[in-house]
Amino acid sequence: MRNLKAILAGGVLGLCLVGLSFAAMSATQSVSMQVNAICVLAVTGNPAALTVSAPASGGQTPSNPTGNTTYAQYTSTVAGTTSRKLTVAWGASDAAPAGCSLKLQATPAGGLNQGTSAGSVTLSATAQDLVTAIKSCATGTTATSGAQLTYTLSVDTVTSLVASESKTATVTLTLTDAA
Amino acid sequence: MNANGRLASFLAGPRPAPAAVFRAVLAGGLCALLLTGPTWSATTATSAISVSIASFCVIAVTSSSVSLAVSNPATPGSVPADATSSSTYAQYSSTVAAGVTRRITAAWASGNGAPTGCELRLQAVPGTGKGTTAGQIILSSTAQNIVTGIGGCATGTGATSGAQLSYLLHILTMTSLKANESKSASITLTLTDS
Repeated sequence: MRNLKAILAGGVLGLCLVGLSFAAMSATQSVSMQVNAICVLAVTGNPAALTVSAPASGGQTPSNPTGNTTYAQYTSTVAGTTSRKLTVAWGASDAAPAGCSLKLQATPAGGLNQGTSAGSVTLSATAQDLVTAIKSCATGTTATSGAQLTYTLSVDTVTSLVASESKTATVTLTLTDAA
Repeated sequence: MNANGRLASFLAGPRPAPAAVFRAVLAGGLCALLLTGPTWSATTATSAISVSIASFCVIAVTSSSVSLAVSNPATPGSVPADATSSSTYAQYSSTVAAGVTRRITAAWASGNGAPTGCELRLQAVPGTGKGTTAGQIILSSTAQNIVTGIGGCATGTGATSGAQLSYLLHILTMTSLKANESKSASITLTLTDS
């Protein structure tokens, strides 16, 4: 009988202690968060054909046709103080019509970290900077978001023009780490 | 011989041996026990047993780790989607006294933080009768409610039992993101009295 009482008393005490210790209980989770390096680029489409046509007045050099309806849109994340740039080049066998050169200028919209225009470049098979100092940004995806691409077919030597000559060039834009 | 004569004759007759007397008494006792036995089967006995339900609250999570990564957007030019994870659950058992409820709070350790330009959010969605969600919170080192109104319940222990924990790494400022930056936060969920 004495043992039974002792066991009961111990059990009741144990329950009380357990009850007290369970008044609040915690569980933990470790959450790992990461921002990946992001570097993605697209263009809104192909520019319309650039055609050298008759000048307004006889004797004039034909004006340079331009096209500025397309945009380069990009999303980028960079580490620390590093930056990216947008370069351009056409295919190794691409060329402008005789007497002409194809020029391109990209003009970012001005949003923070979307970069600075490198001015107008004459296209070649060698990559050249179009936009520099691109950092972490997202240009947007509307029809007129991003860096506006202005193509100009420049008539350099009117005496070299060949009527009805046409060329198609494949222009590649690349978003890459700045050197 | 009348009755008195028979009694006088019995008393005056030879006495039985002591062993015979003992056997007779024993037989009589057994007979009495057999006769009285059936009456004992209807006898009741009472015993006071104290039964109590301890107040307890226990909580666990189905996984101790969660990973979130901000990665390439589906469309270049767009802001990356917030990174999400809804694969873990808080499982708990609770007993409460009448009129008492419990809650689950969440907080991260002092010194923890989200990557630059981001904030970490959490929402817990319990099953019916297992409390009420407090909605989405932005994690900090201050404990905030994620589930309230928890009474007596046991969520179950299956892989998808309990309050579903939805973590969301929300991008606040795209231009502040730092590529390859990683952070780890220790999130403590506490089941406690309201």
